[in-house]
Amino acid sequence: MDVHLSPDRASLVVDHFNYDTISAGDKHDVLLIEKPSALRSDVKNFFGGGGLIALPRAIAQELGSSSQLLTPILRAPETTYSYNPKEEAENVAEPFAVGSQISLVSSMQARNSARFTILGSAEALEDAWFDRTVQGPAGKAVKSSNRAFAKTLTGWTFMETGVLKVGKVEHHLSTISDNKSGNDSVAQLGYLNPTIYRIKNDVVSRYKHCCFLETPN
Amino acid sequence: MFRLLVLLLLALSSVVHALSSTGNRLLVVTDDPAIDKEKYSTFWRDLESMCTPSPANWILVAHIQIGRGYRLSFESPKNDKLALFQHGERTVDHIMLLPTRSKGMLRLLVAQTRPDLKLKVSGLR
Repeated sequence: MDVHLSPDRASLVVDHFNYDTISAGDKHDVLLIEKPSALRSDVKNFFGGGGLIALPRAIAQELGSSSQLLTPILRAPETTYSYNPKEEAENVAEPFAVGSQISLVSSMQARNSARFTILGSAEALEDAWFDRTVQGPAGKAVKSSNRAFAKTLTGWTFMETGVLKVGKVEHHLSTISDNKSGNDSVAQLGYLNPTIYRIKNDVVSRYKHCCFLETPN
Repeated sequence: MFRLLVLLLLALSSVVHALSSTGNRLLVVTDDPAIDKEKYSTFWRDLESMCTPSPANWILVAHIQIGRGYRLSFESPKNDKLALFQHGERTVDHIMLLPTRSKGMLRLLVAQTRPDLKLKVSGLR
């Protein structure tokens, strides 16, 4: 799996333009990020909605591009960088990851449909942060929407949302079709889902997916 | 009378069923189950049962609790007796790993999924 974490264990993600002035006015290590929009225009967004997510002391993840099954759910804004607070240097010469390279929440769906999500800040799930008033440097004080984001994120990871469910399966011989008359039409009784086929039968099958599950609101 | 019947029907049909399509057993692996239960208590509560009252289901809210319905269990990574598979079947459907300080996490996961490998863990901080 192509997720890279910073080589030194103490690195945090810092942003001087999107931080919470109430709790991290000097250290700037609590990020305030808007809920993500859809990655591509034709892809459904499960994690949207309004509001700011507060991520205290997050860890940056960098995703490799070798796997198509790995996607960032929440990317950091352009002005973010990964920083080791123990380092004393004034300027960081080569930070581990910068800007929207940093993925704060990444997820992967394997070919057997199993889902794996990495959330960069476990503290964001704490009670204290679920209902906290946060204020960006340029905005006004709002409540953090961590709770709603946790709901959509766990909904995705635990296979509640974004799951195709097969409703109905139909199969029959391809020689039987809708608009023929006589023995080869669908009017023939018992043509559907027979229990036995013979070798070299041509079979037509239809799957009807009943629903694409979404968390009820 | 009819209302009572309707309520009874609704009660029977709402067996606590998780919204997840793959099962409702969630295992949380954490160093300190007691502390983390407190720290994230709202999060666990949301997972175990979440009722969002809306005009459409106020009648249900009054009598039945619909939940996301996960059954949570908390374990420490040092627990040797933890078995993710038993008799070829899964014992839990979802796993959540909270950050831990111990090296036991890697050992635990490898032991569960590849019991034929013997792993020596070193060099992790």
